[in-house]
This record gives sequence, C-alpha cells and structure tokens, in this order.
Amino acid sequence: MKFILRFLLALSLFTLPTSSFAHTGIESSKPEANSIVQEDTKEITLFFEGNIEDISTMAVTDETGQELELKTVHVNGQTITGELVNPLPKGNIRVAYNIISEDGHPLEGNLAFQVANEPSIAPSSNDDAKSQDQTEPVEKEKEESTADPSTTVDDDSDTNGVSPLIIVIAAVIVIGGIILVMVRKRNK
Amino acid sequence: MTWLITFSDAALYFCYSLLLGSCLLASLHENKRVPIDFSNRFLVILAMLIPLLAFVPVLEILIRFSANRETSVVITSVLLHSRTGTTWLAVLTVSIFLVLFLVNMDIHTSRMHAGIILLWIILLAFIICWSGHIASLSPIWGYLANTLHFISMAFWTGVLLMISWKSTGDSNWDVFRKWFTPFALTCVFLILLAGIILMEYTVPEYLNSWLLPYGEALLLKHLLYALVLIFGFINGFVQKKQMNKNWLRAESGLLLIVYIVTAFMSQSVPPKDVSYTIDTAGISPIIMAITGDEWDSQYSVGLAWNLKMMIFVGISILITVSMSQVYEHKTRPYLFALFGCLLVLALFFTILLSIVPLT
Repeated sequence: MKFILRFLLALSLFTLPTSSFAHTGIESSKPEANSIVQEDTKEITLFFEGNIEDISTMAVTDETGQELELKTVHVNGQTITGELVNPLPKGNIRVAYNIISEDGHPLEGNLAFQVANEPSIAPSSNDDAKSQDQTEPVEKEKEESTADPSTTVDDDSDTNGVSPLIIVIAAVIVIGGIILVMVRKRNK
Repeated sequence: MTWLITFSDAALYFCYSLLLGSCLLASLHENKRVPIDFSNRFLVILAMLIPLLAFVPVLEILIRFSANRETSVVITSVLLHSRTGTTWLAVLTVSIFLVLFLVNMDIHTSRMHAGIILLWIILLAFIICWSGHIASLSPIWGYLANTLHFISMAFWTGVLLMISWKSTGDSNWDVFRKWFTPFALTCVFLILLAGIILMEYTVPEYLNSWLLPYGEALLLKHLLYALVLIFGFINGFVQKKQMNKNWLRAESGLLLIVYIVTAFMSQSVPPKDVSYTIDTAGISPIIMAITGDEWDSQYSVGLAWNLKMMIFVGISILITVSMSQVYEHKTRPYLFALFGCLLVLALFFTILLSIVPLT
C-alpha cells in the first residue's frame, strides 16, 4: 500500500500547477490595468470574480518602488478599495494584492498602470505647487489631518456567510450544554 | 503548505469517517453487527484530531497575513471575519462538546447515548462542509449536496474501515452483511447522485476540465471509485459467504487514496469556466507535456485514437489480464488492489493521451 501511496503522490506532484491556487480571479480594476490615467486618482478598486474575505489587503508602490501610504483598505463583497492619503504621483504605479477568497484560498498578484500627470491637488506635505486651485487643497489637508495615519481595515457587515455561523456556534453551545447537563444528572 | 493541507484534509475525512462509522456500529444492537473492539479513548482522540486537522487551512491564512500586520489583529480578523476562520471556530465548539459527550457518556453500554453522539457527529459534517468551494459557489443546493456527499461517504467508508480493521471475529457476518449491503448501496447511490449535482457546479464542462489539475484529479477519482466499487462488489456479492478481512482491508486502503485525491481537489481551482481558468492559471503540466504549449484557451477537448494512447490501451489490457489471473487465487487482495491502481493509472493516461484540440 505504501508503494501505491508514494506512486500516487509522485503522480499528483506532477500535476501540480506552477501558479498559486487561484480560486477567485481578478476580474477588472479601476484604474484599469495597463491603462494611462489622466485625472487625479486617490482611490484604487479591484473587482474579483467572487466574494473575498475582509482580511484581504493591497499595497501600492510608485515608480521608484516606494510604497504609497493608504488611508483605508475596504473590502466589500467582491471588491477591495484602497484609498490613498495623497493622489497618485506621475509614473508607473504598481498595485500588489493579497486576497483570500470566500472558500479560504489565497491569491496573490499585481497589476500596473500609468499616471500621465502630476496630481493637480498637491500632496499635503511641504511643497510649492499650490498655485492651481486654492480652496480645494485646504479642504483636502483638513481631511487628511483628521484621518488615522495608520492603515485601518474596515470591519463592517460581512457578506461572507460569517454571521449565520456565529448563531450556529451560540446554538451549539446552548444545545450541547443542555444535553451535557441532562446526561450528567442521569449519571448521578 | 498546499501539500500539508491536502494531507490534513485527507486525514480529516479519515478521522471523521471513523468517528461516524464507529458510532453507527455502537448504536446498533450487538446481534446486528460483527464484534468490534474500540475504546472510548480512541473516539476521544479522533474527536480531538478533527479541530486540529481543520486548523491547518486557517493556519495558512494566518501565516500569509501575519507578515505585514499585527498578530492580534490578524487572528481576530481571520477567526471572526472570514468564513474559513469562523467555520473553524464552529468546528472547534462542536468538537469540544463531542469530547465532553464522549467522556460523560458510554456509547458501548447505552445505545441512546450512541444515538445522541451520532447526531452530534452528523451536525459536525454540516459545519465542516460550510467551508469549501461548493458552499460559496452555491450556498443552498450545492452546499446541501456536498454535505450529503460527505455524510454518505463517511457512513459507508467509516463502517467499512471499522469492521476491516477493528473487528475481533466474524460471528454475525451474515446478519451484518444483510443490512450493510443495501446500506452501502444506498450510500453509493447517494454519493453518485450528490456527486453529479456537485459536478454541475464545479465542472460544468467535464471533458474540458481535464486540461486542469482539478478535472484531472476528478477523472482519477472516478476511475479509482470504479475500482473501489469492484472491490465492494466482490466483498458484498461474490465472496459473501464469509468475512474476508484482507479483501475488506484492501478496499479500505483504496479509500484512503480516494481521500487524498479528493483533498487535492479541495485545494485546486474548480473549473467553473475552463477557458478563463486556463487564461489565468494555465493548463496542467500533464496536458502541457502531452499537447505541447500550443493549447489555446479557446480550444475544447476532443478525443481521438492515436499511437501513444494505443500503447496505453495495450498496457491496460495487459494489466486487466494479470488482474484476472491474480483474482483466480482469491488470496492476494493487496496484489489485486495494486494491479487495480496500475490499471487506473493506465486508463487515466489513455484518456489524457487521446485528448486533441477541437477548434
């Protein structure tokens, strides 16, 4: 039997795909992969084929490979949205994602697109390019200062079939407890 | 990690089947079954292994996401906000109670206790099946079909494993066989029925799915299943006069292989849309080796005679002849099983080698 097992193991090793086991492929993104973006962008959304778990993350890097700070990463059903602290700078932008599909399988990948112009709304830190629009940057600055500097994960209502499970767990504890008490009483 | 999960999942099916099988046997009157010997501790250990084995996929997610985040955040997020994590919490809760039940009840003396525990173990199946492909593809019918598939499998294989490895004699064999044969046939029928329903969800394009590891594993599983059924037929109808432990053991050994193939499938992409999956994950290495890199995702699978596959047809015939020779002695069940596995492999490659692209 051992031989058969080993033989089969060797066989199935052979069938292993080289890529990671993707259960939920990426469907599209905003901005689209490999596109050239003209307007200011502060939000990146990835759309997947199926529901993904809240813990899924993404990371955005600029042309130099430096990671751009995300204000929030928000998972909602089949989408994950990353909101940046500052608008995307000009150049090649790479988005790496690390997601878990609803059936518990991981998928890693990345996509890239190009930003054609420097943002018209300047980054909040010290710089001199504030000439374009006077009112808006001030508002933006305010918004940013109140935002939590660390990346936060939104844990709002889930669509992943988790809540019924919590009810099931509670029911299991109650019913199991009752059975246990009854059995122990009888045993005495 | 993928291989670890494949083996932990296979071990999970194994432990679960043993639990269900032994509790079913315990809940029956002694006159209805062959004498079997297992301790309560054996069941307690199985019940404790289940949450441990089920934890491995959760562990994978934890490890994957712990790199760039705080551990406590990752743990709460995975356990409370992901289906995999929460399902595991439910599995853990049910298992803890199962252990408490097993400690406080005696299934050997009280058939009612055995019945309560049996129901509790069935509940566990409903929870285990909540994680997994089907439940997220089709949360109601697919999920119920999957659960039915799992429970039928566990009843049939669990009883088989218990009587082939834990029985202490063959008294009552006749009485046992009289109920077990129709019982096993019912289970096999339900497994097939639920399996066909499941395939509607996971492999709507059965032939095309052979281009992908999932579909290939499914084909292999079907061939192995046919072999298991041959063993079942021999044990249930041909050699029915007496209990042939070694033949039963050979059959249960094959079941372990089916567990592993199934667990492998639970780790690979179900090819809902084959051409899309080919575009994103590529075709399987076996098909790559057979057809070369020329396969376009728009092609579909056709079957045609060719020289390479004819060689395997020849090998298959040769193995079949050897099997009939081995069978004549009726005393070499393990050798018969080994040849059976070789036949399965030969047929597997015959089929894969006959694949040609249809445009």
